[in-house]
Amino acid sequence: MSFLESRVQQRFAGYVRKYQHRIYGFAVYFLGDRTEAEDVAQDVLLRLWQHRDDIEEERLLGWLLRVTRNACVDALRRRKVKHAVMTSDADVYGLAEGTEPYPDSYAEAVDFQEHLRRALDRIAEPYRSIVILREVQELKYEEISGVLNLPLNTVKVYLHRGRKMLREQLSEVLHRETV
Amino acid sequence: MKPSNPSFRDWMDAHVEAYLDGDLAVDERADFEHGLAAGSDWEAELFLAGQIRDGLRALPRPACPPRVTEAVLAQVRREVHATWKDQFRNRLQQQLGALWQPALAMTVLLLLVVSAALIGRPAQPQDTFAEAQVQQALVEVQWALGYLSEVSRETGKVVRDEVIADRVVSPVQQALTARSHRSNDMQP
Repeated sequence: MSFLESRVQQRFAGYVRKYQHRIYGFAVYFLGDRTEAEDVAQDVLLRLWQHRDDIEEERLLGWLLRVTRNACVDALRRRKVKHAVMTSDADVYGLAEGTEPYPDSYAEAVDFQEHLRRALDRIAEPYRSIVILREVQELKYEEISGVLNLPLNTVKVYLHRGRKMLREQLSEVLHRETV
Repeated sequence: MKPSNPSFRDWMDAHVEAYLDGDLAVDERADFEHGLAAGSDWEAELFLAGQIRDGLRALPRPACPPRVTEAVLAQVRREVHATWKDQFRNRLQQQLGALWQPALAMTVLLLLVVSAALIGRPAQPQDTFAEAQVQQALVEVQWALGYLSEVSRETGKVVRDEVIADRVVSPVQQALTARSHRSNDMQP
């Protein structure tokens, strides 16, 4: 193996370390399934290797998230029957670690996050992607615009609309719980 | 537009998140705050919208399991290794492809030179012979000459009796006899 090839591999390994959690995190929240998210993350990282010569480093994050989102959409399409009951929503998102009982406020926060996550699972595209990219992944509007190839204003409008959808759903759930 | 107007309610509902993010223009912001002051239910919506935004931002970031990246890097290593092997094989094939014709020509030329040297070399006489070998050779030569002489004699006899006698002597004798008869008949 040449010195150059070894350098290319090292650089790729650096990218993998840097972006693996973002890719996987997006896929987990988009798909609501850790196993599928692992498959997507692996697929996306291998695609990065195949296109390593075509992507400039400055545009890498946008490229990765766009490919991840497309892979997730494909995975959802392939999923014939959506898992009606997941093992445990809290477990899926890594919330249920430890055996100690939660303090009330923490338990309430976890409970709210579960509702939130379920509601996120129900909103349509591209609102779901935009909400995850903006609020969970903390991307700037410009970056989301690049990832989804949408005008900046559309991204803002869709983000507000996506969160409004969440608000409507959570409002119903919280109202039911209160009643 | 009055806050009690249904379309104003829709407008308010559609702009809760934008207001929360500070994305409204100055006049829109003023309208929204006017609506907010007019009805207490908008406070609750605004509170819920804030809870949702904060809740989303507080969602845990799942860590990618190490097995995923290990599998990716292992696959890449295999691919690189396979590529390197392919490149080496292709390069070798190219080199051999360019070299085989001159190599074959050189081999043929070498064989020709070696063959010519072996075939064209004169027999080297032995320097010394034993007495018995000389005697044996003489005897063999005598026998060979004797046999050759006998064969020649027999051949000569066969030629004389079967070829010359039959095909030359007899026709000449017959011709001479016939001529003498003709001469006698012509005498008076």
